[in-house]
Amino acid sequence: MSMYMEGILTQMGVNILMAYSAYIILATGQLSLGNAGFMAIGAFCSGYFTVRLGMPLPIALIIAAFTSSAVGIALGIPVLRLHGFFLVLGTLGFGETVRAFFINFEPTGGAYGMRGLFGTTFEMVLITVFLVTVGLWGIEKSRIGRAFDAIASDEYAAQGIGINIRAIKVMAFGIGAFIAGLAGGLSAHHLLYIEPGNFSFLVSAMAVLFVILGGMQTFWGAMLGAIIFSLLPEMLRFMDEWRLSVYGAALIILMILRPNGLLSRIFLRGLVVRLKR
Amino acid sequence: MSALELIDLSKSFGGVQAIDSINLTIDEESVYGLIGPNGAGKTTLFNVLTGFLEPSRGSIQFFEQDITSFQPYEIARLGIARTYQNIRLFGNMTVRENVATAQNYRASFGGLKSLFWSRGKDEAFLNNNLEYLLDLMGLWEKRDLVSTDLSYGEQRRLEIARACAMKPRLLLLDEPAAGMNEVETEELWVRVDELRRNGLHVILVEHDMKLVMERCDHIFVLNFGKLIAQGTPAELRENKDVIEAYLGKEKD
Amino acid sequence: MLAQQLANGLLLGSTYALIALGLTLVLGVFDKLNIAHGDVFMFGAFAGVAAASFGAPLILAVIAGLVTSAAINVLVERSCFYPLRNAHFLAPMLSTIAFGILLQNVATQIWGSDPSRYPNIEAVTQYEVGGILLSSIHVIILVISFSVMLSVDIVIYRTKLGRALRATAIDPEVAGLLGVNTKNVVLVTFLVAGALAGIAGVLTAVVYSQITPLIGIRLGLIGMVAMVIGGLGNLRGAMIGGILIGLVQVLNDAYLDASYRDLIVFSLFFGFIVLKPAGLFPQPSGNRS
Repeated sequence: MSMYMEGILTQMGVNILMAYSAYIILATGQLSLGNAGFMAIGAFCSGYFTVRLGMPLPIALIIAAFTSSAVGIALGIPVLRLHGFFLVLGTLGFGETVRAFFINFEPTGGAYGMRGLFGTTFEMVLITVFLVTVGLWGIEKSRIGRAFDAIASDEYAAQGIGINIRAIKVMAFGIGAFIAGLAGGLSAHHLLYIEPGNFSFLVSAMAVLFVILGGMQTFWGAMLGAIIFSLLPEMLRFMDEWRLSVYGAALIILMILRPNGLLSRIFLRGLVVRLKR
Repeated sequence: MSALELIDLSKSFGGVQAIDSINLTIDEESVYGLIGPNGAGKTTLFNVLTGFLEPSRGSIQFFEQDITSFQPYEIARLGIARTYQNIRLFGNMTVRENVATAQNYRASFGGLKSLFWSRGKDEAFLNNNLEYLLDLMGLWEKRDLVSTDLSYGEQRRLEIARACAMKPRLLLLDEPAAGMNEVETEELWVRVDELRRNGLHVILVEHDMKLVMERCDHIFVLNFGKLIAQGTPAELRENKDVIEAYLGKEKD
Repeated sequence: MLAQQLANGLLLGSTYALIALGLTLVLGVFDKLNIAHGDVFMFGAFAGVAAASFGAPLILAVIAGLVTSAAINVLVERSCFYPLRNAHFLAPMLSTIAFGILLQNVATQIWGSDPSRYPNIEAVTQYEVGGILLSSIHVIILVISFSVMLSVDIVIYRTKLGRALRATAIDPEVAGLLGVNTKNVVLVTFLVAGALAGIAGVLTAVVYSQITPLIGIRLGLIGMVAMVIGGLGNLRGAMIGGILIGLVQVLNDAYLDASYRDLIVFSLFFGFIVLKPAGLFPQPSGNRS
């Protein structure tokens, strides 16, 4: 495989993971516009372990993901009291606070960031995406997945049948942060050089856009959205410098045409029925 | 042992006493009616009982356990299930899934185990109960429809099935017959009666006085947040307070 | 020294206040968050710089920015909010993020990604008032931004149009029944919000002399910080919030270290949302959840 293809596919894998991290939080009827913060934690944490402490990348990745997850749970506890725009703005504020924190955090190079990160292979990304996909599939099939559905549909009634909605929401933040942490670590060791500016608000926003455009009722939608919108800029290369403008316009138009995303659960059900015939 | 005991239970919003020093006890497995004019505090009482509102004063004992400050989900797991005045189904699920989801939380939450215990196994394990409930509520044929595609009456019955899937010891029905015609109401009654015979305490809020007087074993009358009377339908027919405060007006 | 910093903070804060005011108008009247607001601001700034580079005096540059941003903001309403008026409340908000991406890239195509400069303004006089050094241009900017804020305040709280806006904010349905043309109100809201962003954009370009297509992201976020600190949906609160952030930033740069600037501003933001979501000046009549 050419370096170019490998680069695109690795980026796509990272985007799929980011979409998953946004999806799992959306699945409990919440929204995080701060997942770039978790990604940054995963990136700088794993970078610190590999570059400064000489740890092997897979172990560094896992520790970084757990660190990010712990922060996600800590974040989930206060912000899950928030609703609507307060939740949107709270998570957004969190992401920006993390970015600003790393600007001032000298052990990971402050505003200048870290160099010398390497080791992410395409296979590693593929395996991670595969394992996380299996994990999400398992969650969707489990009672936890059903609790997610119940909360997303009606929090009030979900409590009424015995679902501890606070615990489930915090769990969703923890899982989302874990996945974003993995994405951050993989991306950092692919880019070779990272700085806090890599983890801006736009990264969080794109992760959510992937899910919304792909379809937020199932994690397959998140995956589809991430794949399409990672490839679209490449497919638009013939437009040269206007491609990112066209990309933005395409997102807006798609939003108008399919505000509920490309993949819905009803569509998937129909597909399964048709395939079984 | 009494199933439910409310001691001096009060709830105020700002200066308004929505529930005012209610004392009542429920012992036997039968159907209790909760009646009163609009704004008498019936739904507020349900919300306090199920933990959605915190009482300002007083306590709630459920099978001799103090549940006054419990969270809604804890109360639900202890065995108080309810339906809602404005139907609250899980619109993103089918009929069967609505009921199956509620079956999951009867026992204590399985923690890690629940992650590995797939939905398929759940359903096999609990299928008997699910089939029975859907059949009883006349929804077996419609089990694979998305819940929002049901008719109004069917949605109300599904809410009852979902509540019963938790195997509750106490079932609170908030205007179960609202919007139903006479035939549907009669059918509903037969179903609720069968549930009760399975060993269940039922409290229902109802506006249909005829239904309440004919079918409830015991009636509590609320007015302005106060419990102004209680007794069998026959006793209440003789009660002057009730006739003046409520029944008299209804018969106009 | 402190007085001088406060004056600088006031100057910076007044542009933040204008941004926050526009965001708050849209959120308050319409209950929608426009995340592209910062990019609308950025476009106004570039329009002002472009006008000035053709030799337009400051006031014409401001008008150029105002008109451009107002027009773009109406475009935002037409393409992100109106078509998605019945969708989930997140949908239009996410759509504005895409609109922001579009604006950033169009601006890059037109003006390039290198910083653009506002041409030097001639005939600047320095005033010294009680030890505070102010250039005439700073005085003009303060006068413009504060008179704009004052007039918005008067329009909202003293005129018929303002009553229509506030009525729509409280309950669009009732406002409609009372004879308010809510469609026009929405349009006016976006026009005014865009105009405020445009004015702020040109003033920012003048004060800091250079702008890039990506400044809108940060400035939009700062506007949201001001909006939250002032109390979501509270117009006067948003203005005060903007000025407070300007002061905090300038004082931080003077007495601490410029690199702490974002950390302090965004920790404040996050802290407010979690601990005091109603902000300093809670909106009494708001319908926020």
